[in-house]
Amino acid sequence: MKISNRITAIVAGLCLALPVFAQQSGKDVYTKVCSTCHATGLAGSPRLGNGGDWAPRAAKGVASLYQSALNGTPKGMPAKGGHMTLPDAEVKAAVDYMLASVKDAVKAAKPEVEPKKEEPKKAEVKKEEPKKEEPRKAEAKPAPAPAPVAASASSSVVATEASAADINSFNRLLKPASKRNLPPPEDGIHDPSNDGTHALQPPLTAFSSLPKSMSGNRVNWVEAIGQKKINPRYDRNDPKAEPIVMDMNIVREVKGSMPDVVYPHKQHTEWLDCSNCHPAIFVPQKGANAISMAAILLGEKCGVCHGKVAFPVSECRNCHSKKKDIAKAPAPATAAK
Amino acid sequence: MEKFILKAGLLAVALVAGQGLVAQGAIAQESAATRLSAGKIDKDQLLFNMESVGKLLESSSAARQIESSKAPEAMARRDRAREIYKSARASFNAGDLEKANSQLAEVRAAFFEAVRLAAPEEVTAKKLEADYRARLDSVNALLGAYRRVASEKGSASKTVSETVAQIDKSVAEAARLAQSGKYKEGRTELDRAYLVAKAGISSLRSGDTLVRSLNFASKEEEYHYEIDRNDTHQMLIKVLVEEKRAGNPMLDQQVQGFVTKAKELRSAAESAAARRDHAQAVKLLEESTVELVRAIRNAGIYIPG
Amino acid sequence: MKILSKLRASIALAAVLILSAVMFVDINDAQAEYGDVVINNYSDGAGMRPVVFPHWFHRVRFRCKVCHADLGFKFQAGGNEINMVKIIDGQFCGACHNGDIAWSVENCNLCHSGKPNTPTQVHESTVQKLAQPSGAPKK
Repeated sequence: MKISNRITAIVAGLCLALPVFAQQSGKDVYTKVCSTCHATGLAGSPRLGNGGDWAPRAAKGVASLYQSALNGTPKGMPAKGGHMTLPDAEVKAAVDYMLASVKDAVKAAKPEVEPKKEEPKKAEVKKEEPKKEEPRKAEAKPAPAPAPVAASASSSVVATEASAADINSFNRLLKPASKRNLPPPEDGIHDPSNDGTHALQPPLTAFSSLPKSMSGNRVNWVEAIGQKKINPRYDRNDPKAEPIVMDMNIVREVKGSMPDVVYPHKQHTEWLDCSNCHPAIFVPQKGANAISMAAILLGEKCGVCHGKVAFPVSECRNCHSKKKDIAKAPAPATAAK
Repeated sequence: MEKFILKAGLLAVALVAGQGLVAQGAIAQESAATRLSAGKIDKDQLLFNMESVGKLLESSSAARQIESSKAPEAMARRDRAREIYKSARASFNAGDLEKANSQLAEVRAAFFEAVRLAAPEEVTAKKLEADYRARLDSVNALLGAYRRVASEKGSASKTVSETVAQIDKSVAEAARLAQSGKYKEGRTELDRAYLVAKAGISSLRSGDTLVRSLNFASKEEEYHYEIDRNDTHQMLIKVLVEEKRAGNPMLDQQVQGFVTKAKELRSAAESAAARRDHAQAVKLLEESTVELVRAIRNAGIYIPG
Repeated sequence: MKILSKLRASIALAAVLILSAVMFVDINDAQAEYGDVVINNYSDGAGMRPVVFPHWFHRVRFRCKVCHADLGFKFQAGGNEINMVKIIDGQFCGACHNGDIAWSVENCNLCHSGKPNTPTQVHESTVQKLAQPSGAPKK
């Protein structure tokens, strides 16, 4: 008797202590995410409540519909509606909700035992290649991009990278620890004779639990989101709003042995909206933007953010991440030290 | 049996309470503001705050707004704020810091109310219009891109034209609202068009990789590219190497040697370009940049050439 | 005696070197957190301390889109012409610092916390370090 009482108490305590994660209903997910297209049939999507649209799709079975929603389809359905952070169960609930809207008009076929493999495979293949190009946001040491070239080139580069990282400890952009991330009353910009200054949170208190980086705030913000150490709001009022992420890479070739630049929309759309850059900073058209490092260093193009709020361009390999063919890359000369 | 019901009831209550806590974020949030108000009141700080609030009441942009609006309610509120300010001053002079501090807070609250009553739309309307125009630019840019990408990919024309039609409709509606001065509503309408355009492009472009290859139409173009590259490396020296140069005179001399050579090569290149000999200019610029790269490497920072 | 004068000489030399190093090294004592924006369009004129906006604190809580797309903040230090009227009316900072989402804007000294006469800038930005660009960039 006493044991079972204790168990009840513990469970009750846990319920009080831990937030009970309310799962979003299919209707909620539909309203927030799916309705953008499925309300009006945008891009040929099956409309809510329209039996004619859904009949051929429902005939393939609920399991296949789940796969389409989760993995996307080549016809235009983005995986999870573009909201990769949605749990699978919620996506399925939204599908159920949409099917329920036509259940009188259409009878969904019995769920198949094995989900159709063709559709998800097609979507995966399409995504595989661009993922190779995706730069890894390295934390401490920048990792070389997936190099299809011989190992000798990459290993020698890695060796010099290691020494470059040590050497960079004297770099102006890397101040010694005693001078970085100072609390507001000591940081030279805030007025220490102001009472408000002393009430402000010192940065290190917040940064101690976040993944580190070599420059800027010394915090790897992309990793911080990836590891769910922080979850900044996408909407001012709604803490649960999901970002609309687009996965599209743009490779810009550069002269010389410097690796090519790979610009990933994915990491940027986690934080930003299309309108932040388009068209004021970048024209959304291939060949329409003349970008040079000189411009970036002076605070234009990529330099509007990088070098001011996002990591500064001393982190070359974060962007210059696509190695050229070995035929073009000369053997790197080590620093005369 | 009863004991079981009791336990089940307890569990149910706990669940509900837990959800309630989640809903409200019930635990009082600590913040800079709470820390500030919890601190001891310092006389000098309070005096400074007094002065600041005085300025707020009389000479700030908000004060000017109240005066120019001539709204009677706003003026009345502001007078009320002035009264409380006078007594706050009195409390301060009498040495009652606590009272003065809380009265000061009242002054602020009353004054802010006055501002809200003073027709701030005159000041804030410009931003609404600017926001509307910015959003319109974005919608147009995305729409243009969508059309272009759709035709490039040969996407199903029916869906494309439907999407475009929907966006156009929203934009027209928004323009109609904007014309009658309703920029806020216009912006809301544009936001709808914007989401549709965003979703449209996402569905077309998701998973793609585009390559912008380096093709120069002429040597002259390549020359301009090389000038940028040369500029970049000069700036990189400033950004990466400056401090080390200052601390190490020998290094400074070495780097200066490279930099001087680079500058010579660059002026040679510029004169070659003036002669329209861009091929030669490009070659000289490449050499100049190599010198700058050497300078940076000499300082101990490895960058690829 | 010779040794002493040699010692003095070397001390003098060291002093000269240190002095010259100190003179040439840009002692940038302003070392606020990277990304802090000092806004001083009207503060000095109004007799208030300039505002220091900490990007890092807000980045932990909001994605860039919320302020820069939804609330209309331009990517430009000082370029938004923010003043107290707009804030009290709920634009710009006032959209959140209203007592609901964040503390209310009556806490003057939490924002107006910069050293007087600090010019508007994005602190520790690359552009700040390149105060004198060597050549105009091609756009």
